Amino acid sequence: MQHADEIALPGRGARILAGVSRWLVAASAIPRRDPFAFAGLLLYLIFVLIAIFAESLITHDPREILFDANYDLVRNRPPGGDHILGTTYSGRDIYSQLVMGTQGALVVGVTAAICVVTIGTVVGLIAGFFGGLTDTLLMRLADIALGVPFLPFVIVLAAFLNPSQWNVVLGIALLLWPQSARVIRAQVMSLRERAFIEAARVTGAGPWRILFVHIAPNVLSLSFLYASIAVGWAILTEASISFLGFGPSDSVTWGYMLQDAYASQALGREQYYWFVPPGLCIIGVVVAGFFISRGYEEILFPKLKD
Amino acid sequence: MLLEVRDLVIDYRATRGRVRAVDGVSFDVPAGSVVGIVGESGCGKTTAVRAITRVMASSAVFAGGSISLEGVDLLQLSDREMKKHLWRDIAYVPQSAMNALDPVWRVGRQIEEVLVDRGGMGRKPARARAEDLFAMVGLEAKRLRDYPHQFSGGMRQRASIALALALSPKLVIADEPVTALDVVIQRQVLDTFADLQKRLNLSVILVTHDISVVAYVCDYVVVMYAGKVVESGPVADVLNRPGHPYTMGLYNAFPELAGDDRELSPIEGSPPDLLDPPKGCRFRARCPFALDACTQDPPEHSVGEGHVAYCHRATEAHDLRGTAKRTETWVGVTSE
Repeated sequence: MQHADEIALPGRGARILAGVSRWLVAASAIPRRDPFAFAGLLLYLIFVLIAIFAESLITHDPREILFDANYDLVRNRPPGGDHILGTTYSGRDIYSQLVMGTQGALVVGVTAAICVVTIGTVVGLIAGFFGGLTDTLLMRLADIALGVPFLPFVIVLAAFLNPSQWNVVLGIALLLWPQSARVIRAQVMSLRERAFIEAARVTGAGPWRILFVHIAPNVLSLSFLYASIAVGWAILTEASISFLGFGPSDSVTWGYMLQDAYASQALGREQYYWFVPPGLCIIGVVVAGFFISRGYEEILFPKLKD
Repeated sequence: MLLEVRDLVIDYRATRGRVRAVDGVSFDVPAGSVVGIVGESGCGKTTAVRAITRVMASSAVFAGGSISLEGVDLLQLSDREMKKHLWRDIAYVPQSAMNALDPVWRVGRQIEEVLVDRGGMGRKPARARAEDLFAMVGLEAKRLRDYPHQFSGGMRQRASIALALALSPKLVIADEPVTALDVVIQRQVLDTFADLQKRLNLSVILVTHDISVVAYVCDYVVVMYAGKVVESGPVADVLNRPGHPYTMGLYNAFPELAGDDRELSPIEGSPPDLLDPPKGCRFRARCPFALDACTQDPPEHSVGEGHVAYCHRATEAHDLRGTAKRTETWVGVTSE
C-alpha cells in the first residue's frame, strides 16, 4: 500500500493522467471482451459524427426541389454523378436527406431517452423510498401507462397537438417511463435497507437528502442502461409515426423518407437506392443501441455472462 | 448524569402481536465514562440504544419510560427538535459500521457532508476538520480521497468513528463497533477508541455481545437478557463478583482479549420468544441454578456499590460463582 502510493501519486496532474490512461486501457479491452458492444459503439460514433457535421456533409438542401440546366425536374435519377444516392420522385437529393435524417433521428432518440429516464428515475426513487400510498399511486399510474397501446397513443397525440418531433418525444416520454421506474423502484427498496442509508438517517439527514445524495447515485447506472435502451425505441417509434404520415412536417427524417418512397411507389419502380438506405440506417441505429445496452448490462450484472 | 434511561419500554408491531423487545430498561451514563451494554443477539440491546437516537424501524413503538439527555426528555421532543440533537449531541456508530459508508462517494466527501449539512461549517474548514479527524483515528489524510471499497475493514471502522466524532458529540453510541473485525484489528481499533475517549473525555455507550470487549474498555456494564436488565454496575465489580448466573455464563463463554487461557463453556439454548415471554425470571430455562421460586419476578439485589443483580439466588452468588466456573455445570441444562 505504502509503496504503491508513493510511486503513483505525485500530484493532481499526474493523477488525472493516470486516470485517463487507466480509462484508455479499459476502453481498449472492450473490443476483445465484447466485440458486439464495440461494433455498436463504433456504429453510434459514426452516426453521431454524421449528425454533428450533417450541414457540411450534405451536397444539396434536402428539401429543395432540384432542376437541371434545362429547367427539367431532376426526378428519379439513379445514383451517380451529382447525386450520390440519386433523387426522389419530386426531385430531391436522397443522400442529403439521409444525412439530415441522422440528425433528426438522434435528436429525437436522445431527448426522448433523457425524458423517459428522468421521469422513470424520479418516480422509481420516490415510490421505492417512501413506499405506502405514494408507492401504490405511482405504480398504478405506471400500470395505466403500460396498458395504453403505444403507437395509437402517439398518433392521437400527434393529431391533437400539431405534428412535430417534440410531440413524438412527449408521447414516448409519457408511455415509456414505467419500465425504468419499476426496476429503479425495486433497486431503491433494496438500497434503503442498507447500513449506509441507516447511517445517514442517524446523522439527522432528511429524507430528500438521503434520497438524492445517497440513493440516487447508487441507481444511476441502471438509469443509464434504460436510457440506452430508450434511444433505440424512440428512433424506431419516430420512424413509424413518420412512415404513417403523422410525423413532423418541418424536418426530414428517415421515417419521412420511407413514407415518401412508399407514397411515390418507389418499390414498384425498383428504386432500391431510395428506400433501402433509410431502412438500413434505422436498423443500424437500433441494433447498435441494443448491442451497447447489452454489453453495458453485462458489466452491471456480471451473472448474465454465462 | 449525562444520560438517564428510565423504565424504557419498546414494542415492535409484528403480524402475530406485539413483541416487547425492551421491557423496563433503566441505566445511566455518567459524563466521561464508557458504559457497555452486553447480551446475546436478540436481547434488545440495539433497540434500547437506538431508541436514544429515536431513529427506529417503522414498526417500533415507544410504550413507556423516558430518556433524558442532560435533563431533557428526548422522547417528549418533536421530530424537528430531536433532529437538532442528532449527531451534534448524540452520534451513532452503527452495527456493521463497515458498511455504513456510501460506496459512491469518497470518504472525505462523506465526512465533509456531515460537517457542512449538520454542523453548518464552510467547505474549506470542513476539509481541514476532516483531515484532523482522520489523524485522530490514525488514518492518513490522503486516504480521504479514497472510496470506501479501497479501505480495509479496520480502516472503514476507523473512518466511521471519525465520522461519529465529527461534530464533537456529547454522547457516542457504538453498536458492535468491532464485531466484524478479526481479533488483532479489534484490539487496535479498541485501543484507538479508548485512547480517544480518554483524550476527548467522551461519553460512550458501547453495545457488544462480547463480554471481553466490555472488560477491556468499559467503566460500567449493563447486562441485558430477553429485553430486561439482569445485572448492572461498575465493570470490575460485576466481572469479579457477578450476581446473576447469566453474567457468570457470559463470562465463561468468551475468551479474554488480553489474558490467560481458560476453559470456555457456552450457555446452551437460546433466548425465549418475546411474543410470549415466560413469567418470572426469563433466564430460568437456561439457568443451571433455577429453583421453583424463579417463576416469580426476581427481586433487585444490591451486590455492591452501584452494583445490582435481579436474581432470586443473588444472596448465594458467592457459592454459585464457584459452581459456574466448572464447564459441566452448563451442560444439559435446557433439556428440562
